[in-house]
Amino acid sequence: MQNLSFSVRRFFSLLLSASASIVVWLVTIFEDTLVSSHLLGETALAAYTHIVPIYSFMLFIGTAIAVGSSVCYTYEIGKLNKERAYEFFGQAVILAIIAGCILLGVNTIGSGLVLGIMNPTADLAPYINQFMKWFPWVSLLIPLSCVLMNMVQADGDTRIVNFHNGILIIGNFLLSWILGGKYGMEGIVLGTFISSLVGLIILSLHFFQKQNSLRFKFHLNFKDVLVAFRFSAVEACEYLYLALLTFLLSQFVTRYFDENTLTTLSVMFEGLEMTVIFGGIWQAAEPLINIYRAEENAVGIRRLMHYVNGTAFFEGLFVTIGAFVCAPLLVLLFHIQTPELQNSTAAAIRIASLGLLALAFVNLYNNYYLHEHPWFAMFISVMRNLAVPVTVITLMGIQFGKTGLWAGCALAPIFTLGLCSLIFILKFGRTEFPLFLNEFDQNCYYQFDYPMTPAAIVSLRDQVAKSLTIEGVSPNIRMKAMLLIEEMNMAFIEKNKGKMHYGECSLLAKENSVSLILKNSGKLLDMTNLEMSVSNLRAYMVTSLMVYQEKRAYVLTTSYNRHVFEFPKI
Amino acid sequence: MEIVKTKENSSLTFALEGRLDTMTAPQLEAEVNNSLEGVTDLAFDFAKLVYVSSAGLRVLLAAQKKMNKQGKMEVRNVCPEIKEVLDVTGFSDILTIV
Repeated sequence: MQNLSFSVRRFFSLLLSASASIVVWLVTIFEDTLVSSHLLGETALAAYTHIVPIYSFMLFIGTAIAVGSSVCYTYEIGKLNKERAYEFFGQAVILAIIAGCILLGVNTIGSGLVLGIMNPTADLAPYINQFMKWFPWVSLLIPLSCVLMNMVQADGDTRIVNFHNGILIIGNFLLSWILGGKYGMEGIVLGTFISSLVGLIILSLHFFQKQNSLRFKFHLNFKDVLVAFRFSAVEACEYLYLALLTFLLSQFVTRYFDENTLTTLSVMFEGLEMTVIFGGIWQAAEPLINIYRAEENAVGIRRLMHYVNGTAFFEGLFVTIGAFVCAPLLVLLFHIQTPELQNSTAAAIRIASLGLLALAFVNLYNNYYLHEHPWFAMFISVMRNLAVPVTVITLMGIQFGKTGLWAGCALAPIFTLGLCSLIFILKFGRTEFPLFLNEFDQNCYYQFDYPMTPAAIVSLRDQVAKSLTIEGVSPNIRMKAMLLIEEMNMAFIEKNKGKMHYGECSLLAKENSVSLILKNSGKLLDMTNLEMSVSNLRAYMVTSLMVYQEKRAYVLTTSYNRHVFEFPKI
Repeated sequence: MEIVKTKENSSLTFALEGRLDTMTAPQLEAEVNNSLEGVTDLAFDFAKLVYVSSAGLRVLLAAQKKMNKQGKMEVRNVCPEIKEVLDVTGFSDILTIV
């Protein structure tokens, strides 16, 4: 832990909240399903199962707005284009509010139509009617909740996000249980509405935090909506592919196998939904990777991706072992009573779980390519969610029967990983594999990670001086850069007494200029601000250096300090 | 950083070599504090000094303050890069640079 770099520490600090955020709404729906089955019985459970697709559709709308907008926001912050970043945030909020109002209207006025499409049996209809009383208000909140959760997460406020997730999960369970006991299905949805409203208020608290860099700027532009949606498209289409996959495989199993096999397949699909937790790895890494992308820093991307890969490996392994060991418990959770079916389903889960490790990597790289090569990302998405699973599972099923089906589930992600890697190498070349960094590799980047201690800072200063000498920077510019490094970092140490912080220093040498980027955690402090109070000689020195340093910028990035300076070489 | 101290009667010269920074300034500060008694001419020779930060400037400022009461102080052989730092910070107006 001691040797971890600044960005890797940031990644791990974001990982837990990102993973929780990605499953929080799924857990909420699951809780409501559980409460309805326990309090109101099997008919209510069946009614709720009818409603889940509507919930999923609301989440799809929220995700479609939130994902692309947060990608654009972090990338523009990385480019130091604060105003542009604010525009993307403002646009996301406006779209979420518009979408929420439309959903409220559709679910209120058009609830009859929704019921007509569902065509529930007479015993289910009263439950669905009760559900639809409060659900329009939940649908009003969902898009804004998704946008704020993604944005606050991208802004690095893990405390608020964790608090929100905790309130949503625990609050929803308790409220749904209490209100569900009193008012039935209506109470369960009312519980969800209250907890999501409280969650939204908690997320809004981020705007009163010092580390908040999100600023609302009124902006709505069709071109920018398309730019943001470009990044959401892959994720949005996943719902479509998964629906098609479910349909095709259900048809296949119904035609060639018995009813029990179909039940097992349903359990598989439920389990598959939970693998979205792998998305949390990318959600934690994405803001940091996007900043590096904007800085064109291949060194930073490689170093961080090394740990991101490691996390995907261990998380994949952990989930595989968990699914393997807990398979019998998972079966009980789905109320499968027949011992024979219990055993065969548990065995099926165990076989299929062997592909989860590969799935973690396919998921990770699918998201990674989204930014630079959206069409390739779309291709991987089709492969992993539809083409490969349908082909492999049906062929294995025809060839080897039931066991072949489950083995096909395990082999599908492994084949996808192999196939997509091969296609990548054939199309883009071996040197680009797997991170697409050839373009950035042309840049001459030096990167140093350091603990914020006087000795480490002096050592960093000397290393930077050496690099600047190699790059042919004149002695007086070199002196200025060295002074900036020592004085600014020492000033941060003085402001953060008693707590160890970590920093990152990057140096990008261009033809005629050099960029120096200093990042650190700890108290937020804009040292480029000439109005900063000067209370000692060091602060005076920093301010004096800033006066003569025209090209300077401070951007609060994912809740850390980022100072950028540009010097001429001579 | 290396400090070479030369004392002749009431004149004292500190010849500095290397970098006068956060890590090395306390060493110079201790040397200066222990040596100023009876000194009327104090000089810092920067011929072999390649870098000075605010920690070093603070030591120079304290020495200048003391010497204002008991004599005079000079900073000699300043390289152009350090001179620029002294100019930027306004120290060239406070210190006697020769």
